[in-house]
Formats: sequence, structure tokens, C-alpha cells
Amino acid sequence: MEHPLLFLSIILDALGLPAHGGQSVLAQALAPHMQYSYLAMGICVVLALLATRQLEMIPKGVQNLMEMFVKWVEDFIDEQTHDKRKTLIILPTMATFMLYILVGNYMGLIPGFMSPTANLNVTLGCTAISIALYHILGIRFHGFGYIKHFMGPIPWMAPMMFPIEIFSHIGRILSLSIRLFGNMVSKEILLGLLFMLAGPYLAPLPIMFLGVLVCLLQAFIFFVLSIVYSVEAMAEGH
Amino acid sequence: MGNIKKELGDLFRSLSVASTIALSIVFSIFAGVLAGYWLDVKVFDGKTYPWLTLLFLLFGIGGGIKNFFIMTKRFSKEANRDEGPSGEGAQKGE
Repeated sequence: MEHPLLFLSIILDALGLPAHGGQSVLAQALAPHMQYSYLAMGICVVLALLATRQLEMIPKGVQNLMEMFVKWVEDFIDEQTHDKRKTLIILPTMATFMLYILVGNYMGLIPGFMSPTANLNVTLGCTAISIALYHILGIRFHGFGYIKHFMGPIPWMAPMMFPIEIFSHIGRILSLSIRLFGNMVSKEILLGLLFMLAGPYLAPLPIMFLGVLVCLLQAFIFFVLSIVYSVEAMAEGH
Repeated sequence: MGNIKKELGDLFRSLSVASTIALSIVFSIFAGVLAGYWLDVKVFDGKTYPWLTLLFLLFGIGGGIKNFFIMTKRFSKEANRDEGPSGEGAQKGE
């Protein structure tokens, strides 16, 4: 779906850069979802820099906010792992996921902006990181024995269990990426439609309200499931 | 205040796990069928046509059921944990 009005695209157009997608590498790197993805990354980085620039014993302002966020994430992961060391290993990735997806989702509610997460490429990229992370963690914690996780409990059933496990993991990849993408893009399409049909009479307002909830919920779901999969890969075998 | 926050967190976690169960079943079946179809049509040129698709459909259903069991176990574990230490003890026996 082509967005009617995107600020970053207009700015890039004024600079003479290809801002609406295309075949060349530059056009692909500057497609609308990429622009807003860069913006979301920029917001995350600026928040982190503002929070850590002047560290004080008694936090205030942005530092206070970010400390609260990191503390909440840490406690949340700790509840699942019950192990400080494992928590600290996955904490940075998970906090980044939460922050990036949250910022990306909420960006779509501002007129003139779009959610980078309303594009399958972005969510599939996030999912690829999450999936690769938990397999790497599994290999790191179990060495070569990680393959036993795929073999099931009974040795003679292993040749049958292996493909089943493979497909259950592929199902995870698809469900993780397509859910986030689907929710975001459906919200955008619904908003666009309602705005075109009955924009002047505040018709999109209920959907916007629903969108506020869905944005938070979807970011949270991605975050929780990444943690659950990582914890499961790090746990002792079946 | 703390109580409300905790309850809200539990609600959101339950929501996320519950909404995942259905999707992960559907998508693993889907992935199984697609992989089988691709093998049949593209790799073996349609010589084995219905059989690999059916076999991989079964693998996909198996994967879906496995995801279902893992998620349900997780769900009941979380439900038990709220009820106190007895739930924890029951989990240790596994």
C-alpha cells in the first residue's frame, strides 16, 4: 500500500534521491520502510545517548525513564530464567527489540509517518535475529549436544522427530514475523480506508484507540516470545 | 499499585502465549505443505507428486502439535505459579 504522505520521502525527494523504492541498491536502501526504520533506530540511539551522557547517582529526566525500562526488562527476564548470568546474556538484545519495535509501532500513529514494522521485510529481519540468537545460545550452552533438543526423547523415533522439529521451528519463524506485520499493516489499511470514507466525522478515532493498544501488545508479544524461545534453548534438555 | 502492575503483566503474558498457540500450529502446517509441494514440483519434477506433499503435511502437523504442547505446558506452568509454591513443586517432578 502506498502511503499518501510521508515526510521523510518528501525531504528525500527534495534532495533528489530515489525515495519510493525501485530496483537499484540505493533506491532499495532508501525505500519508505527503510527510511522510517532508520528514524526508529535514530530515536533509540538518541534516547540511549541522552540517558547515559550524564550519569548521576540520583537519576532524573531521560536517565530515570531508561533506568526504569531496563530494570523492568531485567526483572521480567529474571522471572523466566531464574539465573542472573543467563539474564544478562539476553538482556541487551531483548531490551533493544522491545524499544525498537515499540518506537516503530507507535510511529505509525503520527500523521505523515509510517510504521517500519508494517513491512514484512523489517519484521522478518527482526525474527531472523531472534531465531539465530536462540540457536546460537543453544549451541553455546549445550555444545554439540544441542542437536538432542531436536531428536525427541526416544532414540528410534529420532528420524521421524527431526523433520517435525524442523517444521515446528519454521512455524515459529512465520508466526513471529507475520503476526507483527499483519497486525501493523491491517491497522494502517483500516485507518486509511476509514479516513477516506468518513475522515471529517472522526470515524478513525476508535481504530486509533485500538491501534494504541495493539501497538503495545504486539511489541510485548514479540519481546515475550523471543525471551521464551531463548530461555527454552538455554534450559537443560527434555 | 504494585499489585495492579503485576496483574497487568500477567494478563499481557497470558494473552501473548494464548494468541501464539493457534498461529504457530497454522504456520507450521503451512510450512510443511509448502516444503513438500516445492520438493515434489521443483526438485523431483512432479514424478513423486502427491506423496512428498502428503508426507510433509504430516511432518507439519506433527510440528504444529509439538508447538501446541510446548506452549500449553508453558501456559499451565504460569497459571500454576500464581497459585503458590505447590505448583512449583509439581513442575520439579518432570
